[in-house]
Amino acid sequence: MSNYSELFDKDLIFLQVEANDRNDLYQKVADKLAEQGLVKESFLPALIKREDEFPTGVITQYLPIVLPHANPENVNQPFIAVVQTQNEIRVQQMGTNEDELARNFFFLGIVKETQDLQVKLLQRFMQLMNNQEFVMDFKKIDKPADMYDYLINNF
Amino acid sequence: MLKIVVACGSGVATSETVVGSIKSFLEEHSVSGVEVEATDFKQLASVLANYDVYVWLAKPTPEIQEICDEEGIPDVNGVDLLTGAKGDQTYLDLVNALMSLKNAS
Repeated sequence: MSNYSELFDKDLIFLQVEANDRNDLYQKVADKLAEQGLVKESFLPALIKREDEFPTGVITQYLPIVLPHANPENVNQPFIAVVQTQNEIRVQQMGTNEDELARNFFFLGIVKETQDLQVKLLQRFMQLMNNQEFVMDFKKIDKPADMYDYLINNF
Repeated sequence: MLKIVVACGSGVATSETVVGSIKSFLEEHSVSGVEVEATDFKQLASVLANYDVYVWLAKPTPEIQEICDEEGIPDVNGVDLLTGAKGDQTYLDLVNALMSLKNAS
């Protein structure tokens, strides 16, 4: 278990989330984050604005994912929220702005102080996304507690 | 000294991650004399001309594209560098961009 796996939180894993579209999902997740005091009120509008301007969908080898994040000034504490939706959600891809359908979202709460740690986490994360075995097992998990254990054991 | 700039929306997450990946790649291949820095998209237009290679994580705007064309700055898709999904081919575009500059100088 690494330092940066401490960023995962049992209370920030949401599976089989029902959402109509991207903004509906972001609203739901932002509410949960706000309940726990992790983000400021400005978080949701900042997140949506940033995603419109600089989308964060990434099609990795085995799984299309999304890495939504807002600028650090909207975040109180660093976090990573793991969210899986029931249905595919239409988002745009980083770099090309082309459409992508995804069910797996990793919301990154980035603050300047722990930026290095979070960058390491993102690097490790991308490594794991190229590991077919990791992704296949990841997709099968349907309980938040199992997901938490799986993630901290692999990071 | 060649200078690479990596730009994403806020300059904090994905661009820093790609900077780390490029630095590791250069080290592994014993490449020296290349600087790699991250910036955010807001600052990019004002600093881009100081760099030799532009790695993008957000779609280049016409303004940015124009600077690249005028200054002869090759641009490289950074999303491939972020995901590493192309395996051995991942860094090919970046290496080609660096080589083209080396040949030109």
